[in-house]
Amino acid sequence: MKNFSLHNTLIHILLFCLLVMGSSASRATQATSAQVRRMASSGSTKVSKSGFDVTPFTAEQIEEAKKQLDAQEKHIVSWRGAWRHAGIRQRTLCVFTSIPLQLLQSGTERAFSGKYYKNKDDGVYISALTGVPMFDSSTKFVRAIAFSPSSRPGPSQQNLHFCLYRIPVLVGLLSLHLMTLSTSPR
Amino acid sequence: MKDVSHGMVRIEVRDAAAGEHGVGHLGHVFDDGPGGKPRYCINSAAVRFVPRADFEAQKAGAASTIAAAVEPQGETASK
Repeated sequence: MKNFSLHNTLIHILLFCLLVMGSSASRATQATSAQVRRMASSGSTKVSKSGFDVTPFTAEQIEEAKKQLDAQEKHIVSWRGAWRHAGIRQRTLCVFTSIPLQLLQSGTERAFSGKYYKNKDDGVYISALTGVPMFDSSTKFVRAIAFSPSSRPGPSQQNLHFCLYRIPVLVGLLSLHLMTLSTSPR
Repeated sequence: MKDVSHGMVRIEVRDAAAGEHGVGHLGHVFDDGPGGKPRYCINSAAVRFVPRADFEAQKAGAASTIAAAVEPQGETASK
């Protein structure tokens, strides 16, 4: 009987390992399938300072792009103004249920979490929705909270709290965006 | 874009290429970065990581596509 339970436990451990390996493999596949947005060869295009196409998507292109996102990504990238753009059916669902309400509001991940929180590989972070390059991994950093002199702990008690990191702008896309913010803040 | 949700006043960072279709939220930007520079707090679910080699290859592919699209027009014009 003991042998049987041990055997059963080993099978469970093996299945768990296979499950973990499968999920990591699917994540890797998703990461490699990310496509950088290609420059349109014709038509009116808006080009960033770094030479990337930042022409706003049409409504049809956005709907196509949203199909590539999973539920978590949709929840994050949807911003609060989506209410204005939601149809009557979505608004009705939003009133009577809670799930569409979450999908229609822009979300924020919990601190110290996220699939790239501990990622130190060399590369570029592109927008999950549009594929436009956003940030360079070389500018990512781990922020340490500074203690004020009065509350500074002793040398043996010093502890660096790893906090949010900054990954500054790679392309002119966000520079333009921020310039708009700084000149006409609302 | 000014974001006043959750009792905080924050500056929202959005993807300009997403337009005004209700999507494109990336995160927030704060002014407490090192050296007085802004600190971008970006959700990892809003971005996807592309390794450097893949990114350079895709950039080169896009450039060659543009060159191929432009070249036949030049030949036609020269004739």
